Amino acid sequence: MRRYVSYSVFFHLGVVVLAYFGLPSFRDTMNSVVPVSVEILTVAEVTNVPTKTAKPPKPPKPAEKPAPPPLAPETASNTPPAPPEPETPKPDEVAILPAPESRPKPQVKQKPKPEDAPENKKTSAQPKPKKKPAPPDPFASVLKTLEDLKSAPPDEKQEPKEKERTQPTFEEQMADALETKTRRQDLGANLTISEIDLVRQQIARCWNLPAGAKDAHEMIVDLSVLMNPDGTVSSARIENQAQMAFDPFFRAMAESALRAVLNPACSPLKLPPEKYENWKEMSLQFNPKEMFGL
Amino acid sequence: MTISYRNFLKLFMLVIVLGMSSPGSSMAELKIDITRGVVEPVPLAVTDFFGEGKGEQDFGEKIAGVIAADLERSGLFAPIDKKAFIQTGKSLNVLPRFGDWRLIKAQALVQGHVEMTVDGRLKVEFRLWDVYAEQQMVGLAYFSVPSNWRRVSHIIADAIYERITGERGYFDTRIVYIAETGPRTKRVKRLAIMDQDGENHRFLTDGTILVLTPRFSPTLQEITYLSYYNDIPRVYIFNIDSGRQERLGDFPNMTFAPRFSPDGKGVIMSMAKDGNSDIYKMDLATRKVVQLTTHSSIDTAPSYSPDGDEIVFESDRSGTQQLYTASANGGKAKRISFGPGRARYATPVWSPRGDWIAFTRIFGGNTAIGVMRTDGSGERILAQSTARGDWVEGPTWAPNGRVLMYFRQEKANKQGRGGRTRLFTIDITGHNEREVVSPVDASDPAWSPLNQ
Repeated sequence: MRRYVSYSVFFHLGVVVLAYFGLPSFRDTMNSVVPVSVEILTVAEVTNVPTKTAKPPKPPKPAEKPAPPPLAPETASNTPPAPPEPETPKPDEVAILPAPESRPKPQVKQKPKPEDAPENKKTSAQPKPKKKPAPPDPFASVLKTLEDLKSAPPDEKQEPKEKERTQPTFEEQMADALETKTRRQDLGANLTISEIDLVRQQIARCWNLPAGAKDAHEMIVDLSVLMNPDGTVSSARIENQAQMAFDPFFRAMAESALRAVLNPACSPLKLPPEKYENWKEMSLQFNPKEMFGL
Repeated sequence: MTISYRNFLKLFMLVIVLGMSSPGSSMAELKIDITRGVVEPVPLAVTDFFGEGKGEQDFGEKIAGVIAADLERSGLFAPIDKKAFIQTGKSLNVLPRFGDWRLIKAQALVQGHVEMTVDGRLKVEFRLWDVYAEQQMVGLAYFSVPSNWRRVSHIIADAIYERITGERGYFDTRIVYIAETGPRTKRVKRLAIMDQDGENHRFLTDGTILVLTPRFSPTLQEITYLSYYNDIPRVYIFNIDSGRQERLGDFPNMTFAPRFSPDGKGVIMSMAKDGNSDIYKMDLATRKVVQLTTHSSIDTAPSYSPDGDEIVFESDRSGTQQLYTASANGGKAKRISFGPGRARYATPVWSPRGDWIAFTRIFGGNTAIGVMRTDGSGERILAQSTARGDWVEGPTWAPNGRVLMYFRQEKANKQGRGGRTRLFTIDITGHNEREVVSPVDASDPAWSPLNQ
């Protein structure tokens, strides 16, 4: 114990001394280093992008990993279909008023329905599977799926356009980001700039944020994330629960951030495995402000 | 306590090397700030709603189709091709296999159930699932007469849109517009109405009388518009349900450019008198009229702010047509449009969300649809005429203040024929310009409020 205290005193002194004498020059080197690492980063970014072609095989892998746990209880629940029923939240009952011109009579008799509706469902879902149309061959559909995904996924079309739009400012953003304080703090966490930026860019690519929402530029979402050693996300939680509860815009923004982290396309995160201790807990701050420089 | 001496030392070395001090920051936790993202349509899967019987299945398929089309048209969603679906049919009704949906890159899943109740009504139940979080985001059930299935679909699409974007939907809405037929020199103009997706189209007037600038009431099934009945232009009110038309007030002179107040209880409009026109508001219940502007120039095209406290209008008091805001009780006007060069501004419309004012800008032979903040800052052009002789005009807001509709008129030939006039929508981000399908030429659209 005393040993540690003396170490502490020693190093604190070291900090003070170094800060006093050596800091300006460190600052200088920092500043001169930063632009250089920007260059490195942008290169790294580019080299990452091509891996996209190699990516398609990847998503299935992470997808499979998190999948088994939910699958197992699910298949189990298939045999006794009763349990899942109460588990899945009951839909609110809304009786709709027909279009005003067609019929102006109000209908408010949904109350008795909730009880017998799920009942009906259970019974009807259970004993008469004969009516079910022959399902298409599941394997054929899988193959079709893969083919479809390879040939013309719908979002592929959208992507280049968006890329073009965001690309020019990206360098600036990076330079900007590198100069912020949090940036330097990241270094303190024992990961290099490029290591962190790799992850940052990886997540940014999966963060599909709701643009055009009112005051979207003023929303900041904090996620705390627990990681597995293989770079997959073990769990993620939105910190701003109170704001979530009363602001649907914020909820949409926060959930988009959560989806970014849970997106199989961004899993596993490219973090150095040997530094797991440093990133097994992460706090991610999503700040769309720079995206909306309207 | 468990922090090892080595790590301790390492951390401190780093602190020294970086010359930074961050009191209170936890060293164990890695902090990363993400300041960039992508703006792409959310990939989602809308499965055919499950039904036991053939009729129910048909409904299920049609409903899913309308929902997917609504969401796709918004530009914020990319429905995934049904052919890619791995899990279909009844098993979905128990619980989605989220792994299957992740595999085809769906971020959200819409699944539902259609049932004919014993009393002949249609029960439509749907659930929206977050595929990554494996959670239900919303689940609702609706009852309606079967013929109302389209409306149920729009309402479900609205619920999905609202849950994912945080914004009110706008699919359960209608468009009233001026349907145009015949050559430009002898144009027949009729009031027409249709669903937001172009369905359920019908004409409201027969075209014998010229009609212009229809505007929806925010609260009732009513439209206010300009009609040349007996060749005298006056503001009228049209009841959609009864088809009744009524002249608004007994003004000695031409009244035009009407718009409802946000509470639906009043109409604001222009009245011309001796070459000058000013803005008046009328209380619909008492028919009391109040003059709001008194300037000797032309003041017209007024539009209320959503709280009803302010108005925006166009005026040429500065010498050219510009936009001004003022209190809804009259008083001093403040110019907000300061465009490039000799740009002129027209048809201002205050967003129902309150944050933007949409306008038509005429500048250098081009017309454009744009938005500016209510103080005139942040002007952005969203859509513009593409060729000489083309024309864009008349923005109207979707009830959620997120999408604008306007019309685009192409140049006609020398005989006044050809040159389509059509309605378009565009997102306020300036993306996703879409034509609204209409059976004939269409101009001067007005978006209804969300149906109640």
